[in-house]
Amino acid sequence: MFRSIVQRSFQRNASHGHGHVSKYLKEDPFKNMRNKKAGEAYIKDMEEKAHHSIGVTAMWKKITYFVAIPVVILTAIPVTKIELDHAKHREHLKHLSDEEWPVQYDYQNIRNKKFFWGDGDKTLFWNSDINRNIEA
Amino acid sequence: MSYMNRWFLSTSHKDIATLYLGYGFMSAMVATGMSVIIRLELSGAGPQYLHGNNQVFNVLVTGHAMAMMFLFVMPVLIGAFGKFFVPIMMGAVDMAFARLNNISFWCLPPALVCIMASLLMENGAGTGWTVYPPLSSINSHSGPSVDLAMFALHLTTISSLLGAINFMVTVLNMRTMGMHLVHMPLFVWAMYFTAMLLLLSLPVLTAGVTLLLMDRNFNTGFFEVAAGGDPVTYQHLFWFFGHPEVYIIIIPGFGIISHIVSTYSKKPMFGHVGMLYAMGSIGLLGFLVWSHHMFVVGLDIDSRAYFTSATMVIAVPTGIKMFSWLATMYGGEVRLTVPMLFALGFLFLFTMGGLTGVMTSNASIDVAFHDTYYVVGHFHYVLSMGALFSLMGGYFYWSKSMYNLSYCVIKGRMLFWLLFNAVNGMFLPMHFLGLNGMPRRMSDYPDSFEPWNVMSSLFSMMSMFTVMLFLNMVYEQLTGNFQFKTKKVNENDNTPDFMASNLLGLNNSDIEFVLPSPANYHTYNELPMLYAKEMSNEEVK
Amino acid sequence: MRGFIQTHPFHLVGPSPWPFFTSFSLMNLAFSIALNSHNYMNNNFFIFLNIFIILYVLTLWFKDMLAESSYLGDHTLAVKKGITQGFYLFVVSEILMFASLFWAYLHSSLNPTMELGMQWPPAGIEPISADELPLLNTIILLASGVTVTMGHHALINGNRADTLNGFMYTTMLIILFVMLQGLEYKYAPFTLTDGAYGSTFFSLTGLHGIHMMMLAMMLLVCTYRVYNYDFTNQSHLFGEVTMLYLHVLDMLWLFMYMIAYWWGS
Repeated sequence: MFRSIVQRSFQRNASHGHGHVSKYLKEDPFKNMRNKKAGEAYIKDMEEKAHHSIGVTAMWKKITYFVAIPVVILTAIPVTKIELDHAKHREHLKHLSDEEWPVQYDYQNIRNKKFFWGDGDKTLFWNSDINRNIEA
Repeated sequence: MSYMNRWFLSTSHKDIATLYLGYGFMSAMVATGMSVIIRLELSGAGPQYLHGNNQVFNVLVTGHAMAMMFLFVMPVLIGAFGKFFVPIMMGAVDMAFARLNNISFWCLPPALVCIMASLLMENGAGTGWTVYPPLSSINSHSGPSVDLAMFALHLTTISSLLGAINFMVTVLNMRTMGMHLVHMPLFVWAMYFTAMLLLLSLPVLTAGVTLLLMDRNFNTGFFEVAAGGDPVTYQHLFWFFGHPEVYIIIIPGFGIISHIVSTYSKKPMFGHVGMLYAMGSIGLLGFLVWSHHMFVVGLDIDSRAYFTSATMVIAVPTGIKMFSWLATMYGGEVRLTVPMLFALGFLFLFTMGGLTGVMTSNASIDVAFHDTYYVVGHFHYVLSMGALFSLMGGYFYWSKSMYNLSYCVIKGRMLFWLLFNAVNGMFLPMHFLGLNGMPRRMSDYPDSFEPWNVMSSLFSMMSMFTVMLFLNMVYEQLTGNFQFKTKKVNENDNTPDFMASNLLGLNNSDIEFVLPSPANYHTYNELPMLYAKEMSNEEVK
Repeated sequence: MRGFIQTHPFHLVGPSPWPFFTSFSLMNLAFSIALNSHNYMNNNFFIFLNIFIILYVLTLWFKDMLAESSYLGDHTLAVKKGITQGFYLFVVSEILMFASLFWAYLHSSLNPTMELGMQWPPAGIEPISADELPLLNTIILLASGVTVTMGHHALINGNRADTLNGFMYTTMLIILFVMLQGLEYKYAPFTLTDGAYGSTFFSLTGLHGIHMMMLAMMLLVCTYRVYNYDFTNQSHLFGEVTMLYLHVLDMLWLFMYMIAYWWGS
């Protein structure tokens, strides 16, 4: 049943009107689906991929252990050092009085509306050592 | 299948489309109600019905716009017709992701709840659908209304975005054997381009309104001038979404009109490929023209020149579509059925809306038109007559195929002519008001604007009666209890071989009319296939 | 074995309660945020409750999907192709969302206003320098790309040990990234409320951070599924989309690093 229906639908939608025939009209709709070759090619492709990936895995394994992880550690060392310095600086900031605190410009610490958590004055990642909202 | 399973936990595209259809028409009633209150308030100079509470007027404008676009037109055109017919027309068993299809629908009732809560709580969101800061920021709208409106937009965005992914994967992956992309019916192509526009534009809206929410509740400064931000950022983000959105609303209508025009002209569509490329280029251009909504924010002259010319270029593919429809009818055997009447109305009125669009696209003229009723008239011509007419045409064209429901032809024709006169009488005067400088989103006006406003309001009453007639028709469809006994049959039944005399000797060309109606729970037990018998060019000619 | 014969390769999903539950808990979330933020109800517990419910329902939903793919065999080649396409499209929409936040960032930063002192970073802001913690984060993300590639190729040739190692390293690196990003937030000298700079900086990196948490969850599930013998060398769709997601988020981070951390400081 569907064959004739869709054929008609095809003529309406695919014939581009006015008798111009689409080049797909005579194509075998199943040309990629009902041959054994396609299936074999698929399996072969899979096997080749698996085989190929042995060497690739070895290469990326080397990159992982000899490049990626060492580089992360090597970057982490100086960064930790710098961060510890920052921590000292924060310790210093902590003890400053409001008068000594760097100037707050008008665009900073906007409070159009109280936050709906806490005391309504602190952002989610508020750190009272280094963040201060000095009321003018 | 139990009631719960079928209607709440559904994974069948036809049932979900049915939910969309019912939901969309219910939201339409809400939105129409609001529009009538707006028109009543404007039916005379001075406060009429809202006791001078202008905030309420603006809240109604916002609610009307959001409900009409996000809860009525998009659910019905994309959700109902799209989700019903895209799988059927391509010979797919269902949508690609059936559960996502369900959540696409079920995010919409919560969106309606959010919008209604937004309207009713405290002072409401009197911001217009564009929700520009600083009007929408916390200093001007302090209550939860704007937040709830934003959340409603988030929910509709989730719905449409998942729907868009679903459509695109269905089209790309689930076409039946032998169905090449260019063979797809134009409605499917229309839905595909719509999905593409949704996918690329909605995330930008989400980002824009989320930043606005953060400005309101988390004290950020994206759009706050005192904090070094810029409200124009919001306008850019919003209109990068907003302009594709208007094509999202109209492109499904293009698809429906193509089917109706072709069927009732008894001819194949003129220029199938041209039509689909026209839709594609309209969609592409839709992303390149957003700043034409912002001509008066202080863009530099080069930007205005670019956005003016890029916008005018859209007239070219739109013209291709319009002339292809006319060429389809030319020489065809045009049958003035109810769907065809709506399609013809669409062709005429959408052209009108398009022409006023060319006027407003010009940056130098838009300085005068911006924020006047001219713009209101323009977009109601393309939406209330373009999108709505294609939607009504689609409803009558397909209600037979979707649910095996017939409609009364006499009432259908009455409905068309009533609606045609109502919307023209309502929106044509708006152009004159706008040319005379009446600003939009204002609940009052000088006395000199009264005559055209009275006319517009009177025709708004007429549109109300039209809606009632439509409800009466739906009631008749559902009960089968027709007032005019002799004419109750569906026009598709009247002319079973309505394609009989065309060039190709075809009878019924569209698979949705050949399937059992309503179609089976799973439309196809076995996939249909696109297969052509050996046929010479001579035979086809 | 399938319990019925179907003549097409697509998966007909049965009725499922999860979409319905998800959408209504999304509505509850919307309302609890809107009402809490305007003091209609003063209990943020409901926000967390609703987030928890959404995550819980999604977990059940994904549990169904994993069962359908691993145990019921519903995911044929055609279905997998569709899921892959769907995920690509989802990623496209995510990129658009990031692009709009970049747009907001560049709109403020390319032309800093008078209020900001007409400079970027604005006067009075002490930016996070690009060659400290953010550099380490960048290296971590690049390394995660390496380890996941090792895992992927090991998976294709059926090398269980290296697959597990690859996925575990990647998971740990991503979790490390999220934790370091948390440290950076905790010790940032400016806040979300510090005008356009703080807003755009935290919204960009915050959106990326939320995606990284999502990615960490996906990688945890992947690792478990490798451990549980769910993945075969031919069929590991969830692993593939997770890797795609990882690479896309890495790429977005690189843009973020270049624009927000490097150029922007």
